[in-house]
Amino acid sequence: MSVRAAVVRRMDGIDSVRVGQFLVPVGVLVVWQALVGVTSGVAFAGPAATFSALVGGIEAGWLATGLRRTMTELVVAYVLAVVAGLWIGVALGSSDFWSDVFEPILIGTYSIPKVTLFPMFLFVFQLGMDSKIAFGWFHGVFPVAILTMSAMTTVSDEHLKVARSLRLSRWQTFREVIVPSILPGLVIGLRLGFNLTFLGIVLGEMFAAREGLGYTLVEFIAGGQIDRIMAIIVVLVAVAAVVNVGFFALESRLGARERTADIRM
Amino acid sequence: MLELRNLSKTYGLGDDRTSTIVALDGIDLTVEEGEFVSIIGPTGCGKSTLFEVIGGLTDATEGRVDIDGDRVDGPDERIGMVFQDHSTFPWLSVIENVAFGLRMNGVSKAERRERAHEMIDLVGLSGFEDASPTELSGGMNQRVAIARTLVMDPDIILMDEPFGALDEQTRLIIGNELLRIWRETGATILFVTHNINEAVQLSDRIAVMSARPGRFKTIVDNDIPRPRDDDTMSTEAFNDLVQRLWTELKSESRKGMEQQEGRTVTAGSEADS
Repeated sequence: MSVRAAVVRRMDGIDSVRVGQFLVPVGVLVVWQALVGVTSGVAFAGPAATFSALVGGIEAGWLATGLRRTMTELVVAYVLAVVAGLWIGVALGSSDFWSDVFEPILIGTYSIPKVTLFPMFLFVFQLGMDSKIAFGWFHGVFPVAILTMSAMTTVSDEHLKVARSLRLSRWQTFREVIVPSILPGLVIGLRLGFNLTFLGIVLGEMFAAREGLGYTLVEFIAGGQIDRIMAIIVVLVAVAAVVNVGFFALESRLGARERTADIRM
Repeated sequence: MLELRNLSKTYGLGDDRTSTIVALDGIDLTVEEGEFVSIIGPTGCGKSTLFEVIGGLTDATEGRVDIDGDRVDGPDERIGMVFQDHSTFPWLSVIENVAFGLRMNGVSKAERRERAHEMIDLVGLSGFEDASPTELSGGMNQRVAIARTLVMDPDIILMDEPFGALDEQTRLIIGNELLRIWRETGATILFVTHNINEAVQLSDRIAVMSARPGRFKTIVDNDIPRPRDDDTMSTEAFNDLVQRLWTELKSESRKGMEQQEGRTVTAGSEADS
């Protein structure tokens, strides 16, 4: 940020960005309430109705049950996506040849609407948790792999030579030299991977499941219970927001967004 | 004692590896314990290849490297390497950088701290233990790199143009520092550089490399008495030696430049020169 911009932002001792960040949610609430009025409560439940549905859901237990299921699937799928994505990204990124061969393939596969492939996941993994985990994993593994692979180009040859001359094992080189080098790009991949895994899990639950918040949401659509649907949305948004705020903090601490600004994803 | 015996290195070019480049061609050298030997040569003569072959990072096509009669096969704990530039880890502090190799080798925390502090003192970075390399100048970063190598207590220290990226004043100062460290530790140093003054300032002997294929054109003894200070550099003996090395190097540098520019030196034009 330039000095001038910093001065403009902090005029009169008020940080205008902070004010903006506060005003936007307030604006959202206002628009939300307005939409409720416009659609006469058919498509949207108001903030108050949503809140009481939220409290009701917690008391009745269906919210916690669904959330527990969704979170279990999310955590398992995400951990597997990170492990696989990191491994793929580092393996391909270690070689100019293999990264050139696989980059268009990975990006091409990443950009197809993966939801069209859900039937295959359903046939292979059946109706239970497995199909949702596999589908979430399939969403999340690509950004982790692609960003890891492109971050691998930032690993310095000199550093790798130092590692070799000090006779580091492969694992030591990975943990002590490669991971710290690629971390700024990696955290962006981890955030995008989380968001897409989350999307994949909820989509999977909405299409074919007997449990989870996505499934519960579809149930309430059938019942036309708009306030409960909104309560679920609030919970899902809260989960995504908390995780993303954490990642954003990590990214700005690592200077990730500045350094990897050329990665368009 | 470090012995290089008929070291040769040939690279294959292109996908089919049919055409080859001879980077090193029959390098022989013996470096005695405690000796400071420099290797100078024109750009692209294979200095850095030689550095990597001795350090075990690259295999020689032919020949061998021995330390006290024992063959060096791959990266070796008896050899410490100092690289050109930007080799410190920016995500670690100065002391963590220096202690890095010890930590990777399972040395206890207390011992790591003690030995790292000792080396930081030796290279003159006391007070910067907790600084980040990103906050330090290029010269200070190279001190960190030197300390990181010294702390492993190698028998032989290989340095590949370690001060190449520094300005002349800094280079002189850190060169003097290196001589002091060399005296205090009794290390054996093999120092690669393209800077003739630097080679004369530092070394006991100077090996002049030819343009590709790299071989030793001549090895010159440097009899200028030690300790050598800044005044030494204005003496006649110093300038004579610099002049002599430059004469040796000049035609090689021209050949090296022609190779860099992609002009093929045919057998005919070689005969002319």
